[in-house]
Amino acid sequence: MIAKEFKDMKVRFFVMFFLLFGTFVLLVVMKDYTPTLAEMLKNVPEGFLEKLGVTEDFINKLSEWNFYIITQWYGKNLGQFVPIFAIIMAFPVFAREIENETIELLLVRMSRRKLFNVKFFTPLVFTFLALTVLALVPIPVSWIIGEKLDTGLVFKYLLVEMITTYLWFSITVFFSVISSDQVKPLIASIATLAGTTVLGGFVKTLSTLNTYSYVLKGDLTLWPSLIYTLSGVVFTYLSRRSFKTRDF
Amino acid sequence: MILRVKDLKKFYGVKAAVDGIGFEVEKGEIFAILGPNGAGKTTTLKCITGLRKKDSGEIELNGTFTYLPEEKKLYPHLRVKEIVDLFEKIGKNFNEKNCLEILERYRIDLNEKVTNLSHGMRTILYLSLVLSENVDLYILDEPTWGLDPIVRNEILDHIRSLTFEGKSVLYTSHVLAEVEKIADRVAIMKEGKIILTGNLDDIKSSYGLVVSKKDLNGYLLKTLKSGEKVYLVEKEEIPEGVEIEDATFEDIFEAIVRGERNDR
Repeated sequence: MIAKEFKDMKVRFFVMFFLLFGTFVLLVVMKDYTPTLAEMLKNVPEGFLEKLGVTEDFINKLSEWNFYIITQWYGKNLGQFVPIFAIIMAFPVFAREIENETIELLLVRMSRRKLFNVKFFTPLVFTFLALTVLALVPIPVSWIIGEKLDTGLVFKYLLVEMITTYLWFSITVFFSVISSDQVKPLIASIATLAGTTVLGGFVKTLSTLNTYSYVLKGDLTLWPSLIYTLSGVVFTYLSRRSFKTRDF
Repeated sequence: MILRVKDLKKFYGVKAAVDGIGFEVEKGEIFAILGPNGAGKTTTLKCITGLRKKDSGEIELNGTFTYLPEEKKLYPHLRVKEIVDLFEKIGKNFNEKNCLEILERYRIDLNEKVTNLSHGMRTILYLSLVLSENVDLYILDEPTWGLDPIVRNEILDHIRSLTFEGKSVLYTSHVLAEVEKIADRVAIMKEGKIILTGNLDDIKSSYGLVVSKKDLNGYLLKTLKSGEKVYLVEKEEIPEGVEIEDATFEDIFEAIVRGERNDR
């Protein structure tokens, strides 16, 4: 059954993994061009860059490997993709079986509880594995090229990414369980991500809703981490309950 | 008794899809549920299999079961062999050898992807998987739909042979001749209710056709060009001296489902 689940998700799993891995390779290659970039940016009017939050100090620091990887890989490229990765891995998990009516084949032969566990945890574990590889890959690369990297911060980012992944994975699975086709959970999850990000970004009291500020900063503070993990648990519970009671 | 359904009800919103039905399936018996589209046959089967939650009533299942759905949907991206392997893992007492023999008999290539199979081939594949599970009750929803007559007869023989080993079959079909061929007992459903149930021979022997110009107690089957009406009447209600013709099962089904009952 796990083999079948992997077969179902292998295309989106490998596409996402290699897309992100390729982004990292590109980032490493681009590192050599940061001094040139810094020179070019010096010609841009000062006020304009400051408005964008780019200071001279920031430009100078970019040539440092540790700063460059933390801000550009964890704080930008990988971090931005974490919720998207979770959504893409989760949206068809139940919805595809429901849409194609193959869920009947499984439900007649497995208990709803067991089927839910297999279908929920198999893609989640693979997503965690992919993220672990992608989050830790800068460590051996730094070692190979003889650069220093703050591994403590790397592991902090890894944990933050896991929490964010779990949250968005469970939200999307919930939409997947209650939908009868694959398009709805995808749209609903992306709309929720966009909506919470905008709300959290503009309304100060709702800033916790903005999971991007959490995952991009890699700040493993207690309350946001607890709130996101508990929200993930709540959505997992709701998905399980909906799956247990819905008609097929 | 392998299955007992008592006062089963299932609503979709305010509409009753299944409205207080009850029946039993005995060990070694083939029980067929018949009815027009939307009668509630598939919903009944889905409630029994647990795919849909009943609103009220009792379902007592004394043994293992398997289910062939009306839409024979399998994973299109998997190859036939991969589907067989999946059943090897999740099927109920699945006999792989038996399944492969059926597939070979119907020349279904194990390396073929499900998406490339015709509707009939896909039905045979699903049937071969379900019939290779060793269970007490086989619940089959339109098992022969889309099969050619030769294959259909072979599959019906296979279904019949299950009862020789003490297995029971609960199935639905639109093909009355098929039901007559293999079913021991039938239930006719209409608008969520069972309107007739019993042994096939008993049902056939208890009804007759009467041609009359007068109104009779019974179901109106048709009106002839002469203006006379053909009624399906229970034999014990037929007045003396009236000529009776034997009713076929098709006549009985048509008259009862149409439901134009005349109570004089």
